[in-house]
Amino acid sequence: MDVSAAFHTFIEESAELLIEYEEAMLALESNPDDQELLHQAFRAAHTIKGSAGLFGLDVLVDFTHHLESVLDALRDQQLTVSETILSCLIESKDHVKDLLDHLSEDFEGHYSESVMENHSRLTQKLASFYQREKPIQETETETETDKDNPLMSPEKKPWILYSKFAPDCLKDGFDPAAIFKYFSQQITLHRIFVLEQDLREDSQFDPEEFYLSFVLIFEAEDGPQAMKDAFDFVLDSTTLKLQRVETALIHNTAFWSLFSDNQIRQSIESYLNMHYAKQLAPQPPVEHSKPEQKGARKSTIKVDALKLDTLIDLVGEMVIAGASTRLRIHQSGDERLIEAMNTLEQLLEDVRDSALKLRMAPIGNVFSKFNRTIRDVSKKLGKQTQLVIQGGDVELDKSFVERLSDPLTHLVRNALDHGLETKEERLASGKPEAGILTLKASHETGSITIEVNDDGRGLSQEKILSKAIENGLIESADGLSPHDIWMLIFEPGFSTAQSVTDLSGRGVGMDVVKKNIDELRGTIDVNSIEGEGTSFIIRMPLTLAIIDSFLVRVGTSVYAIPMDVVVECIEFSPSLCTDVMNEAFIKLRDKSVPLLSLFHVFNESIAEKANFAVLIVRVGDNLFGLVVGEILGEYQTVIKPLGNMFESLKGLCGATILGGGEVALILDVAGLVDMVSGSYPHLTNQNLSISEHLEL
Amino acid sequence: MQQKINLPNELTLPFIREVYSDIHFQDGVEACQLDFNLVEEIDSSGMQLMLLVMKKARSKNIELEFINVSQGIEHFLKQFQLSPEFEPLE
Repeated sequence: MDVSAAFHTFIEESAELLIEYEEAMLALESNPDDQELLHQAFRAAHTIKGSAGLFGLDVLVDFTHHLESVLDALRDQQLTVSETILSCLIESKDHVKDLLDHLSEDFEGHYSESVMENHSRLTQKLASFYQREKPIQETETETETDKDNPLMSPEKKPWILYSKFAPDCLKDGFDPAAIFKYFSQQITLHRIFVLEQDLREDSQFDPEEFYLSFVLIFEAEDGPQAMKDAFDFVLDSTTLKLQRVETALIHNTAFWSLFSDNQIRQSIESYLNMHYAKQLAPQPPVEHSKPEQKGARKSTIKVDALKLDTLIDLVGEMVIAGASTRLRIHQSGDERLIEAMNTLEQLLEDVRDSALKLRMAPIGNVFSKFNRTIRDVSKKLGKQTQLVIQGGDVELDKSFVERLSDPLTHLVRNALDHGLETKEERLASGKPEAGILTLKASHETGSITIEVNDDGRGLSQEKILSKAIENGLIESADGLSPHDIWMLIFEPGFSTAQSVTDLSGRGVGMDVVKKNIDELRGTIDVNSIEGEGTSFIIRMPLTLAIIDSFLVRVGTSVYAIPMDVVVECIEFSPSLCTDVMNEAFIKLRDKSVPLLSLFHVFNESIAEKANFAVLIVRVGDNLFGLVVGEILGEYQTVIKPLGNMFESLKGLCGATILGGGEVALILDVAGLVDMVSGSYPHLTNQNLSISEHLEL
Repeated sequence: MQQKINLPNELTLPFIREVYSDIHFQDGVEACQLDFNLVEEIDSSGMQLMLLVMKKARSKNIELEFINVSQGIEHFLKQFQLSPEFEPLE
């Protein structure tokens, strides 16, 4: 048994349980009578406590026990859900997270003074809630069923203890049977299971060594103390895992993974279920059950992210090798091989798509954590805010999801601090008392769009300009469109806050937000209407790994253009090539589309009698026509990073290796348009009249 | 074919290596009796050895029987569900 792996599982599971716990707490604020939410929070606290007990994390066990007691009192309606209790329960979640964050690989808690001060303050506060309600010295509610169970005495609680002694224990003078005998005098022992899973085969058996481990089911008022007393002399050399039976009965991977023998595990589970399940299981009221929520857990397995990355890398290499094989097979002209290769390529594509999907995660995971941010920040600012989440199930690359968290947090805090008005201001301007903050995700061609919208006061152009001039960012507003003015807030050092607060407004945030988004090959835009609200729009590519693209030849080089941005391809008349090299437009049905020649951009020479094609691409709401030499076809493109040297280069998002071994640069079309729009001003003009542009 | 193995008076650590070397199932044996008549003391090493013997018997399809078990030893074995004919502790 790899205890270290079990410990990591415990840490991961606890983090997930804390998220569930917090969701329940925040939902309770608006639905204080929802018993299922209390059950959800209780289950989370209870499981963390049980697992913590396995690793001897006494501080964590102690704290979650208090938490459990308050939740239990709320479930039994001995306490009523109030703002004070909820605030304390929410704060307690942060403390549990703190305790978990301070755990090291040796399962020891290295807590700072401030953490322990907080621990003591919160423990007292939690205890004050339920002790006020229960003057009798019991900490847990005794149920009628407890009384009816002959195995459960009123004061004692059932425990399960796993013990694995050191192989040398007999030679060192410690006899497990004698320890159990002493132990049974201190507690009420119901059952001992002997685990033969480590018993050696005859040929390797040394009768003086000890290979057995045991599971003891017993009752005691204070299980940990009883265990400590009995096993005092062998504590250092023996693996002991103690937990409450009710914890073992609910899902607890860490505990059950101790048993490599399924048969014995099943025997123990059957025994516990037979004797304790009914008596201990919480009984949520049927009318409040929501099976589609927590009850219907999806069957999932956890995979190390590194293993997933390795798989994606290997799939990438396979795609490249596939392209090379395809090229050789096509060169051979063997029809049967070509047919077989086509089948293989289809399968490769399926494998690629399936592998990439493994890395996708819903953006809702990030969105939902803002419930808490909004609650806390709004309280601090004395504002009322309603969070609306749209498109939480939209998926994007997991690495994006994680790295988007920080910039989104800043945008949300900014919206709360600067965007939304105070209650009084809103009422005075005829708006509802509570501000609305919307987090929205949606698919757009080849990308994901994430919006942070508020219905607050909007950006003041006057204030932005005055601040920008004051900070020396610009000299005057001449020639600046409203959009240009809004974009000034992303300049380093810009801040419109009247005073620096601990929430935002230090002027170091928005430029960092933009930088973070840029690093992910994304873009950020802002729109605002003064008095009505502000929208921040982030556009992110779908993935960082493998994409479908069009390969095009421009002069002597080959470029890959992500398929998702391509709207259509048009053959181009050679007679128009001279005009095309200048700033021109193309008529596409009822639209005028500005052309951008990649020959010009990449300084490629044009051969005589060259053919041209135009790829119509979409960037945001705008269309552009990229003039290329030849369209070579679709290609599965494995994105290889360009390296640090080219980090600041816009317009290219990587390179890929073609079947013949040559390298093709991958265009970041949005970045390219952004980069060259200064040199080609016609690109910004999407609304020319038909007479003004060149017609095909 | 049936075999009978007489156990010594102590199934404890100081004697366990010797006891272990004395317990062998004969070839072709179908049933075996472990005679506890002399056994007065047993500890965890004895318990472990009995488990190994039971395991070996199971793997060779040998029907194993513990006979002449004193009350004290019976209690000990019963606690650990070590004898095939003993009911579990319930």
